[in-house]
Amino acid sequence: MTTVSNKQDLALMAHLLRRAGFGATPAELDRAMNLGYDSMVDELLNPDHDDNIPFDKIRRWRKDYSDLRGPGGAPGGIWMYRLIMTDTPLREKMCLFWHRLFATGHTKLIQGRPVVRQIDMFRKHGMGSFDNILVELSKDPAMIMWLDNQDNHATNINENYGREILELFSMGVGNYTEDDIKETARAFTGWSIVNPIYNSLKMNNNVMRPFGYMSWQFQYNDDDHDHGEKTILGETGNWNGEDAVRIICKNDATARFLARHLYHFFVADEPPVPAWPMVEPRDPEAIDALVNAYFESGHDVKAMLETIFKSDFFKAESVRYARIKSPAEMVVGTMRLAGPVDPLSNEANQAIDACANMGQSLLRPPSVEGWQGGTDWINTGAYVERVNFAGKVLKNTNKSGIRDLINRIKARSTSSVMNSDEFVDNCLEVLGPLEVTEGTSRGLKDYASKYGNLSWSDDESSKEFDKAAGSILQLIVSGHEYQMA
Amino acid sequence: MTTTNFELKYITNVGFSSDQGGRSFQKPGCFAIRKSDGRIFVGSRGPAAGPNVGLQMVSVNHDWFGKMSEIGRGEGQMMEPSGLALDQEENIYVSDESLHRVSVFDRDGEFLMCWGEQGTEPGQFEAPAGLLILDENLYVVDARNHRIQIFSTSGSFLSEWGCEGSKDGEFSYPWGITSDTNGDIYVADWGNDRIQKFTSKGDHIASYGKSGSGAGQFNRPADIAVATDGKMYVADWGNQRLQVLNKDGSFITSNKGEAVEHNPWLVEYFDAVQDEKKARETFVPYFEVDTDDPHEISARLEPYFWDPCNVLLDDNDRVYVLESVRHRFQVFQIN
Repeated sequence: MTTVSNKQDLALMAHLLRRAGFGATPAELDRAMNLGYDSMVDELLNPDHDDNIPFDKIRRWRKDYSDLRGPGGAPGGIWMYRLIMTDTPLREKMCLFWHRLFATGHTKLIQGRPVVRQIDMFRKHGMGSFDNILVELSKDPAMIMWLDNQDNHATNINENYGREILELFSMGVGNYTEDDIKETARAFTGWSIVNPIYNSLKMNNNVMRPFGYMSWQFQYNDDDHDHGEKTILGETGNWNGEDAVRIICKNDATARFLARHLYHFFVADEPPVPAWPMVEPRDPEAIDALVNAYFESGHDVKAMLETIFKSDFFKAESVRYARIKSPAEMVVGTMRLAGPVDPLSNEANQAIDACANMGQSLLRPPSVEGWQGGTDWINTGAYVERVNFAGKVLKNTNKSGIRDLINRIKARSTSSVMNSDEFVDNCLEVLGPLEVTEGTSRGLKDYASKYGNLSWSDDESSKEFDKAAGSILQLIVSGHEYQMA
Repeated sequence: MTTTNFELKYITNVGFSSDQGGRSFQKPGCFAIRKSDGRIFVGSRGPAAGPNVGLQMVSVNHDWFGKMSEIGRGEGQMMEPSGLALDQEENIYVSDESLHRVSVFDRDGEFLMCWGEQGTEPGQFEAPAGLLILDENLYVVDARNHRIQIFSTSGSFLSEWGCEGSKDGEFSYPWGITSDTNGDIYVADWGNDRIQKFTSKGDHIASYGKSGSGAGQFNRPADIAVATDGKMYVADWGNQRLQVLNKDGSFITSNKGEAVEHNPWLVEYFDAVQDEKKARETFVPYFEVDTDDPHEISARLEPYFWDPCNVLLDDNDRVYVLESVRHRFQVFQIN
């Protein structure tokens, strides 16, 4: 076990918790430091309990969550609540990873329950075997309806899912042929849902009539399956969907594609996916290491994640703050810092809306290609939204998380006074610790100098201290460093 | 003791969902029957249900009499009607769990008065739910204050009992309330997964049930009705079923809902929307499910109750179960 005792180890741990979760509160960072780096990685990889979500209270008093109808906050709101409140952050972050990769949109599906149950499926299977994840995905009712596989029949194939499972979900462009698409589609004929005709019409007509929204169930129709011989990626046989997945997952291209996605999500920004056939990975050796982990473990995603978090390429200083936070990471991380969310309040819905205004409407990706990430997240409007959102959350000095930050800032002094430079440094410490450029640091200190020496020796000066802390925290989160993970 | 010749026979369902107003319910949370003419008042709730919010007026024979009240925070308006009761003059009392108040209307729907605000003091509420008129007093289930408050029908606070907890006389987010022919009171003690029975003054008599999905067990029971023979009909919300118990709490039967047939409102709807009617011809209402989560099962199987939140008995041995998320109620004959 690695023991951590100095500033560099603290920075590394904070980096781990930013990437493998949504950032740590100071208390979570303290706990992680006591555990040690490797033990913390092991704990993140092996969640041993379900999150404690008060679904009963949420369904009783949040009517919009009871059937998960859209539009508006639900169904994203219920997932946002889970993202903010989870104490198994890596498992929840993997739901975000798969949602990005297997982008499925509520905008078409309308029924909120199947969409949220897809996320539940990611939660259950998302750190297991990639073969199993692809099979579960192929049976997922939301995915089936999203890519029209209920219209994929033995006598009349629909290639949509066959194409996307190869192009977007496993191998990437250039690693299969048009014939592979057709044959893969044939393998998935008959993979449908119960009541496909009626549910398709309800979906297309966007109606809750007559008795509200429905949830869907997978149904395999053997008499609608094409039982003929198929050749997929050079292998010939009477393949069904599970066989197609097995053949796909054996492929080096699949391992590389998945590895690059994991690298992009957890290590450092890569260019947008459409550029990947033309642009080499940022760190080809890291991709090789992940590909090895994939094959040596029997295609296990957890093994790939462990490789990432325990590798030098992840721990390197060059990849700290090398990813632009997605709106979801930005929003969830800031909300977690501020303290618990009341499930019966509108906070989660407001967070979902803020996320959408920043360019990421959870459960409503722009298309099956999902969000590219990286510099795509940043434009003028989105940046303003980020700054405003984070500032608004951190301004509320009554929230328990913000109070804890303020108390910790104070606790870093041995007296009840600190000068403004110290004050800024202490704010940066408790917010990450957040590393900023010399220019940012100077700017913050220049601003804070107007407060002079800050004390909290009585009620009056305590109030002033709180106000100053709120202001400086807001300023810090408006800087570009806070947008990076 | 189990009664072996008891039977619940499904009769019909009344309801329809539309988020555009008209002849429909929307996330209904409460209902009541006016005995003089059988008119049924159903409280439809927000937040995303603007045109529907208010009390729809229907009959068990699918008559539609329109809607009273509307969405809003002003006097006579409502946001989330959560409890309904009628007094001797057939004035209508409505609790609102979003506005934390009780409103009163006359039998023609004219607003008379309201009282209450959010808080924990006597006369204040925190998400008021079930209502009961007994001996000319109004009992209000003050759900998030974990207590029952008693008022005169003109809104004067009289007394209260209960606090948060799981001992006798304590509550955890109670929901529905009713009385029996002896004037004893039954409260669906939602968070404690039990029914509690009290005298009209709030002295504890008995408790029934415990957590679970087995016979006589509950998972967040929402409401209860008690027949003249003492049998208890419980809207077992979390288990997505109606349970019928003997007066000693022993199990008789349960039902998950059977609304397969198209009620007349549905028939008219499908006649007007031919593509849905055609698609509906292929619709299979029951199928073997691959989950054991009752909430998800109800979400998939349309005939089943989905969040049964209220239960009523009429004078013709019929039991009615209101479902929040299927926007309807189902009616059964008791044999």
